[in-house]
Amino acid sequence: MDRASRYKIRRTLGRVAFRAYCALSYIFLLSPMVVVIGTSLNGPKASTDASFQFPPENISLHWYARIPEAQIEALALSFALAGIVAVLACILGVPAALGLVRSNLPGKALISTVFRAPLQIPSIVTGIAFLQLFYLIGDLTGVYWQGTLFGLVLGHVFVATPYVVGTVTAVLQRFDMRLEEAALIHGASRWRAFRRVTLPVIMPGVYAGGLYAFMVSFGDVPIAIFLTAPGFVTYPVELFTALENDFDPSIMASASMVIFLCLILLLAVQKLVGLDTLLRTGGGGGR
Amino acid sequence: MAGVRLDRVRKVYGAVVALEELNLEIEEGEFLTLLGPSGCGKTTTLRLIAGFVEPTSGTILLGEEDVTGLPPQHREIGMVFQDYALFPHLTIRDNIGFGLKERGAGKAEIEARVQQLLELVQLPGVEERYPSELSGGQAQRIAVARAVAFPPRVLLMDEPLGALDLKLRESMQIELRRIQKELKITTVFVTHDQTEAMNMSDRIVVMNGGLIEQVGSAEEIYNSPKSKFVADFVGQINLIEGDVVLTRDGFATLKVAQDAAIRAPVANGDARGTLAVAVRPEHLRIVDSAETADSDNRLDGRVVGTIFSGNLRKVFIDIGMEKPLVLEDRPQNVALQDGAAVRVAWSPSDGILLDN
Repeated sequence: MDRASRYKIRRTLGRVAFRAYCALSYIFLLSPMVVVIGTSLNGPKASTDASFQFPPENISLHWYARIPEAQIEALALSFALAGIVAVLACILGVPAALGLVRSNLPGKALISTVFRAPLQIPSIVTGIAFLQLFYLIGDLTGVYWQGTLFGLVLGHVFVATPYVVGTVTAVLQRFDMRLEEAALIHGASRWRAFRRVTLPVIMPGVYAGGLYAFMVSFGDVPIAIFLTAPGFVTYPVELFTALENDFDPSIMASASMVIFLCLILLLAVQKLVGLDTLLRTGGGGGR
Repeated sequence: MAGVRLDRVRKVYGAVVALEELNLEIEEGEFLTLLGPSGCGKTTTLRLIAGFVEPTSGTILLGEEDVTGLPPQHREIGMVFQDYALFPHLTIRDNIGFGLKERGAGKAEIEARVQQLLELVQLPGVEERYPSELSGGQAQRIAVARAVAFPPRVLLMDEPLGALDLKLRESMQIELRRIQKELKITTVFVTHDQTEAMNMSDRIVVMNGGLIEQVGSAEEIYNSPKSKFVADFVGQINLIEGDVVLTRDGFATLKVAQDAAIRAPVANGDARGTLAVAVRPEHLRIVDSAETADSDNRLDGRVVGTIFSGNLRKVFIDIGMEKPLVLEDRPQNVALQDGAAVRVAWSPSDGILLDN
């Protein structure tokens, strides 16, 4: 066999191996979702245990009609909470990142470590710390923040902001300062230069950070479990409680529903800001 | 439109002096180039005029107005940046109209001006595009259009042609100069490319180590450099060191390598000590060894290399100095072999006497 055909065979084998590897990764990542969605499609059964079958039997949307009201309410709260947290994390995180990248403060390294601290503290510790803090404040002022939206927002913004700081810092470090200088020299004030040039250019980083913040808040159990109150519960905490108490396949239906909702949300974000902004800012200054 | 005056401007960064006391006057409508190697202070000077940095001491005047301390957005200056710095998220229309909008112009007014400017830079019809969709040369033109949109008092350009390839760079030099003349706009241009500086400028400021070495027209700088640095930086030049042995009739006689005596004109009366005679390659000739023209300077040497570049020939001749002499002439029919013995001659009046 000549060298060229040997090479051809090796290349074909390599390609097959690579595709198999990719396929395995996808299976690994997607299988939990497939099992959850699959199980949720079981039809009504004699016993609860029999309803947790995969692959499902008598496919129906039976359990979707039986999602408890409390879970729907919790879901609404979680979406609202995550939305508020994402916005507030951006409002706090963008100036923080600007300060970290632009200033030449002494102790910049220390400050940036402090900003990352919430990521290093186990969430359960953060949760307890906030609960204690709220008790303390409550005992002093008579206003208790645990079990209020405000309290939850506070706890989640604390852990979500570092993500925004991280992504925005990354885009700011690549930001060409001459763009801002060009805005200034052509008549823009510092604020206008930021509004019309800097902010739009770093926006992909802000969106990415905002999305992280949203997901951190939306998926959080360890903090929220301390800061919610009966009748005022986030979706993951509600599911957690449901799994502990009355375990039935409606949980699978409920989880599947959320998977779909998040998928739609992500696609919408992608469509609205993702691809378009990323492509344009990646284009550089006319090269 | 206005002239610019820098009065005893000094800029220090920590312990580093970026600019020694600088005095410079740029006339209204003039195209002035700051030329020098990197770190010579030319970019610092430009950024001082722009207002991105403030001088440590001294004053900057635009026309009659003292603008020292005035932030850039109030100086009414236009600027073309290296790599253009076009706003990537804005269309060409919004890029050009940026300054007009910031200064409160209406939509119709901006649109009219954008069309007029696209006409001026010969790129009509690109207003809907984004900077990433333009070629380097096109982006360059848009950057110029943006800089002059709100008629600035002064136009600054920071190595604007550095990113372009040679052919395009040459046509853009002509193009920029045309636009500058058409608008009669005071322009300060920064470059490290001496050819570019000579092609474009009314006057050139040669800078080195935070100091001005020489100010003058391209001809003045090229024909009468005031220092070895300028002579060497602008164009190619041969520097021949020697001791002055005699000064008479406006010419100094120096004793150089090979114990030869060469003569060069003395600019102001007297010359003594060790000096350098500078001669441009195009002033050197290869002469017949038997030929005797008494008044000419003559040196004997050996050919160590030749470069043929179409209309010109460069010959490198070793005369026992550290660097070989460079001679430039028309290509001859008979090729010069390496190692050939030649005699080089030049008219004494073509030499320039410089401090060593």
